[in-house]
Amino acid sequence: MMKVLHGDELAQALTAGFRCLERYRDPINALNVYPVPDGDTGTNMLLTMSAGVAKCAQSAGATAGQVAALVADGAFWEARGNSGVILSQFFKGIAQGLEGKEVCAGADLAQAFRAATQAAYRAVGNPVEGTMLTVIRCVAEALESRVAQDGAGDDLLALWELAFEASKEALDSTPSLLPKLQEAGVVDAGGMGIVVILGGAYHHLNGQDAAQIDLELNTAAGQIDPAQLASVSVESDFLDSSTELEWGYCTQFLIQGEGLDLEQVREDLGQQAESLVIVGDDRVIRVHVHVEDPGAALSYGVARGELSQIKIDNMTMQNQDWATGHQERGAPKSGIALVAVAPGDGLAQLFRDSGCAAVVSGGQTMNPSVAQLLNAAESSGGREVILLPNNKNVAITATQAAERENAAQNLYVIQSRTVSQGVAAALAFNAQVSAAQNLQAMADALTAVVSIEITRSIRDTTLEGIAVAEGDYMGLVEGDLAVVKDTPEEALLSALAGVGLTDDHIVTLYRGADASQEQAEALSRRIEAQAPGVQIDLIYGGQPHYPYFASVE
Amino acid sequence: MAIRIVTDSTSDLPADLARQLDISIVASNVVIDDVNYRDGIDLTPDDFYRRLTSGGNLPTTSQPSVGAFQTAYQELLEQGHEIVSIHVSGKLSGTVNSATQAKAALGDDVPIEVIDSGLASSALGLVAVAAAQRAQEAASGREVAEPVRANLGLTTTFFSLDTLEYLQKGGRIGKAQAFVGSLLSVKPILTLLDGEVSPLERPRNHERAMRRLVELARERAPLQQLGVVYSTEADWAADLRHRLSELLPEEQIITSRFGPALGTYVGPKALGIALTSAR
Repeated sequence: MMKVLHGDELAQALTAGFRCLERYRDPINALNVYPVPDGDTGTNMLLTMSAGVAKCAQSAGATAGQVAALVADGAFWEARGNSGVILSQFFKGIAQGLEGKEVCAGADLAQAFRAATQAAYRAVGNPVEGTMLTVIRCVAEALESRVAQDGAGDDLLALWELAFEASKEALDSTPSLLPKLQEAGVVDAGGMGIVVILGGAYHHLNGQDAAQIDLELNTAAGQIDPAQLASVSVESDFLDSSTELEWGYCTQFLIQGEGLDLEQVREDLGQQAESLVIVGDDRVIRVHVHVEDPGAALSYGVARGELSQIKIDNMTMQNQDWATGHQERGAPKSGIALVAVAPGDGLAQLFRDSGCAAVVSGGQTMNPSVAQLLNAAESSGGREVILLPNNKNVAITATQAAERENAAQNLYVIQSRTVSQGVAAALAFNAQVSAAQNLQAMADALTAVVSIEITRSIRDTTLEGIAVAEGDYMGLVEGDLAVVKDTPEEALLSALAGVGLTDDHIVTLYRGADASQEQAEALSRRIEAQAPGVQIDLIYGGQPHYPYFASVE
Repeated sequence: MAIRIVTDSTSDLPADLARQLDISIVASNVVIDDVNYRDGIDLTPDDFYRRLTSGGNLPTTSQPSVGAFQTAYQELLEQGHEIVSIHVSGKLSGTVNSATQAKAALGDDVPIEVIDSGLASSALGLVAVAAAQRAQEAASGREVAEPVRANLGLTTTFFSLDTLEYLQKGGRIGKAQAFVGSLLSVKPILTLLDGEVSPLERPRNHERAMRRLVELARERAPLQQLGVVYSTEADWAADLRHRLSELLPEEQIITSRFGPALGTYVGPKALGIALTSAR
């Protein structure tokens, strides 16, 4: 009988959970409630966990408490998206529960899950049941009640099995707790991520290979077909090679083009790189590789499409960063700086033009990590930094970034949930006045705009009682589905009509990568015809997946 | 014998009002294509703005000479007056230096009080007007100068520009540099803070800017003095003055025009307010 888990065993179990998450990433990504191109939950959780798991592989002989702390630290910096941030807080709680423990006994595990539950619930301002929070809480409750029984906590394998089973049961209950899941016919994606991690860990402890097992999971719409899972685990090299992390350059970039072949890119780059994380679709592929020659990887990418968001880090330096606990470095900071997240080259230019000292590429489909936001904040040079996340999936990451410890910069977050809100807030920024005055003025400014987003449905569904077919254009007003039309232009006109334009309004139209200048100009004329006298400012935004953003103020 | 107020042409005071209050105005210099013009004397505002926007060389301005101040001071001293000489912010212009040097050249004991207002344009004009009104009942220059100095903080100005292009070209953009962005058609509102041009807000169009100027005035009510100043659009100034009439009777609101000294920097279609709060 397994009475305790040693540090190495815990590291291996968590690594198995990570590998399992990697296999189930695509099915988890497919569980989006909104049929919009989105920051994928599976990918976000995977990237959040990757750095910590890689550090585990280098920490042979560490205590259980140390292993948990490594995973938590890595997850904190790499957290991205709502699910990633909650997962990072989950690991932070686990680490708090196991702090100072040489080994993990049954009671420790229950206590760790209790702490993890509390940390996860605290991570979100307004905890909602029927999400991964519920799954985490149900696991903690099941463990606590089992451990409370005399002697029942002595079998660690049985406890992990219980945790896995409890998580599956909780996951199945998520649609009945959260109507929007019911309506979309899915279980919660983040919740499934937790189930998959626990399932991978349990099966590993039970002597099975995490790369082979079928967890027999339900999505509510049906059971996941094991054939859907990644048959070859492209990231498996990542862990095997992680002892070589100090070697080479961490190279990241985005390829944008037409008819991109994701599998081919994975295969080709796999031959020259370690630590592959390559995700995307036929139009956008995000590449994260560790290579000896970043130039060769970039040349490969540029032959296939437009490159952007290029980031190259020397791994040796990165490891020094870890060693110093991510202490702030560089020149002394002064003044107050603005940093924005922007999902397109035109929008990045607009934010810089409006006074942002640094801009992070990212948005709905590309959620930046805590570390990326902090790097930008540092590069801004401000002693105080105000961050504009400009997306609801990035806002929580920004909040986590602001809560880091031992920082040389004060970081404040304006909760801008759309690009339109972000631009209004940026225009209210004034480096001559205090951070407190800016925060007030910027928060006021973003309430003065109505945000409209136009995007295309990626599947058939019913949302808030409105039937949406794949390929339809949806008009979201303040983030909620308002209209469904055949063309992006009709969707925008209809959404504007719903807002009720008067000649006193200013409409700012941000043209996405998918809309031409001619189309946008024709649309401007139609808006003018609809509301004579209204001021219309047309700006090239360059954002993917959203032909138009618009603000009305 | 009386107390007389001297200011410089950057105060943009309407000539009638200056005459009525016995305020002497020393002219700045404007150089266009190597020809020197005295602000308000050799060059009308309409001529000036036509030249400014014609695309030729930008006019340059320079402070009044020490000699110009000496002449103005001497004339008043010979009539037996004491002088309170109030000028544009020393951080924007060397005018105060010229005035101080002129005073020094006239001897140690001349009854001249030189004041750096830290202000410009109609805000400086308001301070000069208040000083002139006080001078009518005062017994000495000091009796005028002391309260003027003490109350400078009550006077302020806000102006909305059509473009920051002229401020930038003229090299006076200072801290407003951050507002230079041109992708969105903002109408930046600037103010004078510690004697320097400082950015304040970025409303999205002329109407929003106009409303914001009224709000900024309202936030500082009750007011003792209120002025409206424009560069090229007289009807905008009339509209703004009308909107401000809730704060002071319209006939008490002084309308003036950005002269060349400031016009070079604010450019066409600029509109501003100046105000003095009640204590």
